[in-house]
Amino acid sequence: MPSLIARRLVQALLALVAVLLVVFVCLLATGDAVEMLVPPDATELGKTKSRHAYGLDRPVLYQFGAFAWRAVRGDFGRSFFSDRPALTLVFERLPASVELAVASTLIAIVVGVPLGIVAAVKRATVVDQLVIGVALLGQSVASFWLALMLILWFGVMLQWLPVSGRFGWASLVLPSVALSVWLLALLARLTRSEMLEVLGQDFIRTARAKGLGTTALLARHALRNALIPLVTVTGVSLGWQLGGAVVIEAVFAWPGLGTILLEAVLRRDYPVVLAGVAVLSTVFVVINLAVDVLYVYIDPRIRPGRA
Amino acid sequence: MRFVRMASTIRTVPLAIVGLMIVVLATAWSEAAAARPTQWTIVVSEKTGGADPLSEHGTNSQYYLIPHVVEALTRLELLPNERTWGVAPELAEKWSFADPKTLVVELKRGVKFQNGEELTAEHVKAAHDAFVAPEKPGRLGLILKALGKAEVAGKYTVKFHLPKADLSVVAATTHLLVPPMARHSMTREQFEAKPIGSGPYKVVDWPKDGTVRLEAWDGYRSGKAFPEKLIVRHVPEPSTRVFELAAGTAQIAWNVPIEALPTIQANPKLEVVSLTGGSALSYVINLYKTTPPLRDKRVRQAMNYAVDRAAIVRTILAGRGGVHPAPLWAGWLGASPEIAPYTYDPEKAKALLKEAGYPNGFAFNWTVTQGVFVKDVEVAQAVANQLAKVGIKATVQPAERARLLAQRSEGDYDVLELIWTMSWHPAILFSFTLHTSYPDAKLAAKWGAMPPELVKARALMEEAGAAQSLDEMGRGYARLNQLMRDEAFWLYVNTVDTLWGVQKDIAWRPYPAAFPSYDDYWHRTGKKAPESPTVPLVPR
Repeated sequence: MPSLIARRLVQALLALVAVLLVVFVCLLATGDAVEMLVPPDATELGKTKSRHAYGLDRPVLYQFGAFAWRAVRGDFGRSFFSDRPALTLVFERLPASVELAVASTLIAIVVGVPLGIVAAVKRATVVDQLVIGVALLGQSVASFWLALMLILWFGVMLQWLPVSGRFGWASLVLPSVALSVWLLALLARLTRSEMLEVLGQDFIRTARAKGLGTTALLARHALRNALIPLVTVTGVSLGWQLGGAVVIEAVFAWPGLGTILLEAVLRRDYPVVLAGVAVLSTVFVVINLAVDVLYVYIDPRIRPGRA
Repeated sequence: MRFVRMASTIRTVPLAIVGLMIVVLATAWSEAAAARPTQWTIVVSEKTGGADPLSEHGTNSQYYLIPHVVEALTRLELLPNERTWGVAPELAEKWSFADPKTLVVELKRGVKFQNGEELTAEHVKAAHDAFVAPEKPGRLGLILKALGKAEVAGKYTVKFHLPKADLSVVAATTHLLVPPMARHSMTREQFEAKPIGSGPYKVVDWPKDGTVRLEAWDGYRSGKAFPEKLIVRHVPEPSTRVFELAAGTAQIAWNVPIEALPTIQANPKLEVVSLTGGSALSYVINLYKTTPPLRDKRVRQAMNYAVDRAAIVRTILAGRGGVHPAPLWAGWLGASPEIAPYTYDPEKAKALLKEAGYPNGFAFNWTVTQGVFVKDVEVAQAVANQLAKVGIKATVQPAERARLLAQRSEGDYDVLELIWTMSWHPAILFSFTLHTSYPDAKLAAKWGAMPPELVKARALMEEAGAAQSLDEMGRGYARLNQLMRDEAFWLYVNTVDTLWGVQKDIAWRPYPAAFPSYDDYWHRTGKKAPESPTVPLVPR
């Protein structure tokens, strides 16, 4: 196990450097941050001075090298626009993103997996059709439309929940529900198909013949064998929701990472973009590592060293 | 770009459906008149940034939010005579030029900061030095460098030794926010934990990136401001800002989308408040270029005659704007109501093209922003369609703002989007469009010598800038304005009203200023607020 983790960490480190380099070069190639920083009537001389002050007049590889050298010591530089440490800006937003991603993932798991199980157990019944329909709808509906509808009903008409912002648990409900729907639908469909496959296998028939109750059969034997794809999808989705929930964050004025990164990209605020990418990539790597480790516990057959 | 399109898509949500439902809801609301609330929540489209007046926050909120707490020397707004805009005193009592390169500012006496300090010239010098000293000056630092070196000339007198003679430099003092001396012995973070100023509001809570809570300060020199409490929240999505209004959880929503206006107007508790002509959208034409033939005045004029501005305002902007006749519109120093906009005359446009040797028109590329300004892409597409009717084929390409700025910097554009908000002194506007938009060395190498009309315009700009009085300066800019209109330097399109959705019971009206205050500024200045929710830049 330690060798697996070590190997994955080395791979992750290389991937992280590659991602940062690509992002860095793309940002530099598609616009000049100084143009966004200076007043509109700034002279070429003024721009040149600013470019020099920010070190943007150096060769690209030199800039990346300097950035990487500082980054390994935890210094990602300061935002060009707010002159605050880029990593601090990212970390300030991280808790809100984690809160939203975890809440929406939990909702998706708690609702989606049981729905999938019920659909599989009640295969080819009205219940099954209903779950499939709901799942299809959940994957098709545009998230911003759903978000606005949720606000309209629960924020404006019923006034049960805040329209937007981050003010305690009540304000977490609508954005996390809106964000969870896609994953919920995916988990429901995936669980159904995996369960159907597992439920048709011999060991399930054997367990049933031995008189095992339905609940124990489903939970201990069927679900456990269907878990690997569910864990994979959930892990990847959790990583995506941390930094990619831009639409939901914008609609609900949720102060997460997605919006600050989008804004930084549009303004060519390199330090913030790179700090955000580094943090998100690291989180993604950690989640994937956790998923790999989970595989081993879910299915001991894939433990390293075992044939 | 995918995210940009996603963000843009959100803005174009089916507001009609949403609006209908809100209207149904609104009819169920009580009609009972309520007392004017003493706590207002304002939802704004931009991040609130931090509270430190000496730092750059990378958001326009630093220009309108911080001054509720930390005041500047002056303000840029409609002057008390209500005929023109100009520089109005805030912490400054008055100012004068001892000589063309020395600006003398007398401060108001007895002004107290919220920590008990009394405002003196030392405060102003310390603030100015802090702005211009950093190794990496931000936008404010560069603007304030125009004031040169500050000198304490008396307890309440500051002298600015200007790098060059320029009457318009007074406008830079609107950006000189003055914190107490205590700020200079603190770090930025320490100050932001408990910001202090001399303004009408005290800070209750100002997180770096969250909801700002302010409370009217009893000790304010002009009396306590109204309302008692101001809460400012960043809500980026326009539809959500409208929802906040409909739910009654916000009193003012800034930058409401044009599609949502019928929804707001149909709600008996809400109203649309506007500052007419708060900004303008036009396009700088690259005068250097011979291919496409933009160097030819007749071609540029043809482009202007081909545009039906009134139709664009009526349809795309739902009447919430006006025709943009020339670089300067009402309120600007040098603006003249006599300047007529180009009429919509496609036949004349065709005739001019024929005369110029392009009877079948020509083609050009046109990069525009998407969702950055009110209806930017829609207006560009409408203009392109109208140009096509006279044979001019414009290929509209939405792009990020950074890309547009890079094109401008290289002179690599045919027609360049120009979005400008109402101000007073046009020096920066003209400098931007006559100098910065034309990197001469790069353009001349490719397209030949500088066009004579550009030479003439720059000479007029220099002449106006060197004027010895504001009247003379105004006349100089008026001449330049007329020249740029007649020579069709830009493709002039429309002005756009600044729009707010407002709860009627707070009776808020913006004061015509570069950055309106979100308290009742009319009450603060002892003036009667206009009854109409449509507030002109300059009362007629």
